[in-house]
Amino acid sequence: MTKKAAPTKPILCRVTRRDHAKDPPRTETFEVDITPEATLHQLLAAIARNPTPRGGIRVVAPAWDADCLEGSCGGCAIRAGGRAVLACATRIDEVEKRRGAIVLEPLGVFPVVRDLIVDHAVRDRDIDATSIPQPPIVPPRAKTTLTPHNEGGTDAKPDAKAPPTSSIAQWERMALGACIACGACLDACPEVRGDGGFVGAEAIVKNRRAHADPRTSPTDRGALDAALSRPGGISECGHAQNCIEVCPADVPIALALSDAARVATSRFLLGWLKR
Amino acid sequence: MSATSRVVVVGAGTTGLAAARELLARGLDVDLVSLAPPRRSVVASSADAIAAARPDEGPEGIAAHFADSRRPGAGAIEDAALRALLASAPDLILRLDALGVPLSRDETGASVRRRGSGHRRDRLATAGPQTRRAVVEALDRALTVEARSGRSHLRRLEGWEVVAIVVDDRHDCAGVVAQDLRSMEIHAIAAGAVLLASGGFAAAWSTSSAAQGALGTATAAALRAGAVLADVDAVELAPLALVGFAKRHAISDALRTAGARVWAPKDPTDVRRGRDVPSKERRDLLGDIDREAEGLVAPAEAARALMRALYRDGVGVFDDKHGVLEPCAYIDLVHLGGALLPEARAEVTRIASITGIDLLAQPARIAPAVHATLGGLDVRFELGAGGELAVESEIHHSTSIPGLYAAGGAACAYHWVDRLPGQRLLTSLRGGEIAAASIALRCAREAATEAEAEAEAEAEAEAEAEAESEGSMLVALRAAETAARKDYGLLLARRGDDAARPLRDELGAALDTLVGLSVDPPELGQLESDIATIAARASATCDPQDGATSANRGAPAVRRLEAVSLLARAVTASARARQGDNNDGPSCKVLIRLEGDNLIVSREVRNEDEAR
Repeated sequence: MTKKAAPTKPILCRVTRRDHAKDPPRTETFEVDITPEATLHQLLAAIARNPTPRGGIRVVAPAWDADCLEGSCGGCAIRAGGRAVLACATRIDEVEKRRGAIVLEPLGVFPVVRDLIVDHAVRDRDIDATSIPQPPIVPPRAKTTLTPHNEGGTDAKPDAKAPPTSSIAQWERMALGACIACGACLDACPEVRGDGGFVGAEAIVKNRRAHADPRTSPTDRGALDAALSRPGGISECGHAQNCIEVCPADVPIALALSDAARVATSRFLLGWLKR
Repeated sequence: MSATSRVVVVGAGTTGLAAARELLARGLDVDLVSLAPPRRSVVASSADAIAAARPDEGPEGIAAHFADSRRPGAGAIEDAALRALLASAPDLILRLDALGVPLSRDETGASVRRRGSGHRRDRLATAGPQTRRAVVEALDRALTVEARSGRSHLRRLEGWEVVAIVVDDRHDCAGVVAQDLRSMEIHAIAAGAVLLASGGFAAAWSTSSAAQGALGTATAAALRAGAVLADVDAVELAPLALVGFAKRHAISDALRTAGARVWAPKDPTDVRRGRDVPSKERRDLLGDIDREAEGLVAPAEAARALMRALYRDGVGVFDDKHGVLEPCAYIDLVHLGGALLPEARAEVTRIASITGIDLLAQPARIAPAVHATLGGLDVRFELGAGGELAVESEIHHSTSIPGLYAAGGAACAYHWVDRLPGQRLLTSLRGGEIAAASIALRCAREAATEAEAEAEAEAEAEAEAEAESEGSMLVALRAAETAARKDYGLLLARRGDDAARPLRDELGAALDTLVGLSVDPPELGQLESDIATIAARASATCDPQDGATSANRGAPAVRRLEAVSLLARAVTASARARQGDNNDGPSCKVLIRLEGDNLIVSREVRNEDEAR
């Protein structure tokens, strides 16, 4: 079964492992018979079927996260060959080998839970704590009768009264909304650190998306703009542009970052002029 | 504080979020238990539009939507429920819009709807492939805001898995037992009512396009607790799903609407690549039925036509490398020359980013896939005096266990047969809200009874009875918690020759034959015993192969396999009961419950003048 028409060399895969959050990392190398066109998820699944490291005895299979398998849940982000990728949407032959092996590590900016699994919840709190606000909730909840019968009688505003949206703004919002919160941009950024530093592209994207939302009130827009200039804000972006390069969801990060920088600069100049 | 004002919602997808928000707004405390945070519950391909009549169409538009959605053989209750669901859809679109979901609009800001296959009017509102994500994010934010209002309390238990549904000795649902998948601690959670919004179990099939986690663990727990399942053999098929990957990737209906062709080479031994086959040597697989229907046929119908061709008539694509005919066809957009609407273009981009295939440059191999389960927990609805669905009733979405409710993918509610594009989000969002309203009514009634009992406290016996009922609830919870902890200990210590992954593959392949997604014809008797054997191995010889005390992955995987193999047994039993059915259709509802380890099957005829 493993011998196909064209015999392929087994893939060498080195996995960084920890049983517990506080354990020091160790590595294990596996030899896997698999086509290089398979995804990293399939590679890990193949290892899990026979978790025997090279020259060793069978071990507990490396743990990794996987759910949607189509690049939309963002749960399976790992570091492969030093680059943050989605395991389900990255082929083995797309990964840069190190000393002949595919090297799989957990994302670097988050605390490790086990093996390749990291704690994303910590990042969520960090974004809150660094005072870039979550997108504001704008409209007070439309009062509707939540009965199965409300054929005509609704209190929600009809479409015509909703603020008109230009198709450009809508496109921007949809494109910025493509962010799957996988954390790749944070992992790739040299300015994002555990102890403060830049909040990272993801938070800026969230901020700009909320700003582009026609339902956001002018006051909230002001607050979103102001947040960009706070500590951890856009001024700490080092323009390495790694985030743009690694983003697996093709979010227009460049657009969000340049818009944020423009806003922060004009706010700074305005403040300076008013002195 | 009494548990009557506390509700456990299992699952934080579209259904769970919509329900939790409604429950909070109605003054109830919510424990939202989910395997993952809401944003991780997103599977782009699972739903990329919402179907609703346009506001300007009025009641006539809703009637037309109903006419497109209705299937023959439905009973009066199902019809009334579906009608009410569709009637509330236009309002839902407005509310989602108000929450900030970027649903399609034109340059003037007016809402735009597109056509979907099976719909005879333009009624799909969409935010592109990311529609479901946008809905989840908007609801998640709205839920946080609702919780901040302080009227009621929201507790999010993310990374927790429900392992048991607890029923007390009065047969009322008393709460759940759940496990924190990080610390592996197991705790009972008391509740006045429990809502299962945990989705279906389509990942049980090998040819599935669903997320890995769609295994119905909570549904199986409900079955073990005594709840009744309905029509679990019914599945929603995605007609076009890319093959050759870790799972089948379902392609949005937007591409079929955009004019995609589906074909296979006329010569089954043709070894040329898809794009090199000249057009007169291509066999169009859906053109005829579309022309006959004077529009695009519904996805389920397209899937059945494809399955007939691929698995029965020997149509396929020759795989030169292995020298076999693969049962798959080509989806082809090349003839469109890149002229696509933004939505279809976004779908092409999405597919390119996950598979590396550029559909505009070359045809790609597809086959149908099991996209979702349509059966699930049997839920009830109440009719009003005029034969319409009662406006509010604590019966809506209730299961056979008092206090246990189900909505969305976990329930068999509105669509036990073919579902049209855009109906899935509608069902889950509105289902969640309607179930939440029912639960609020139940909790209010329970609280009133309790207060009454307290007022009459001088009647000593009453107070005692009340204390007893509270006591019976706690006793049941404590017993269930102890049992779950013991079971987990035994599971960790279990050794055997089977592993979860290969067993799951075996199970998936067996189920494929059942829905016709295989060249092997289903032999139900054989299949039933095969699946029973797999289920027995899952709960006896399947080794977790993982002894970790925190973030253990092996033991929960075995537990999920046990759950899904129980459901697979129910699926085969259900299919078998339907086999003898002459009209072989949705007019018969197949109900299943568990007694000991035996599945008890019963059939109920859906008829026009059914009344309950």
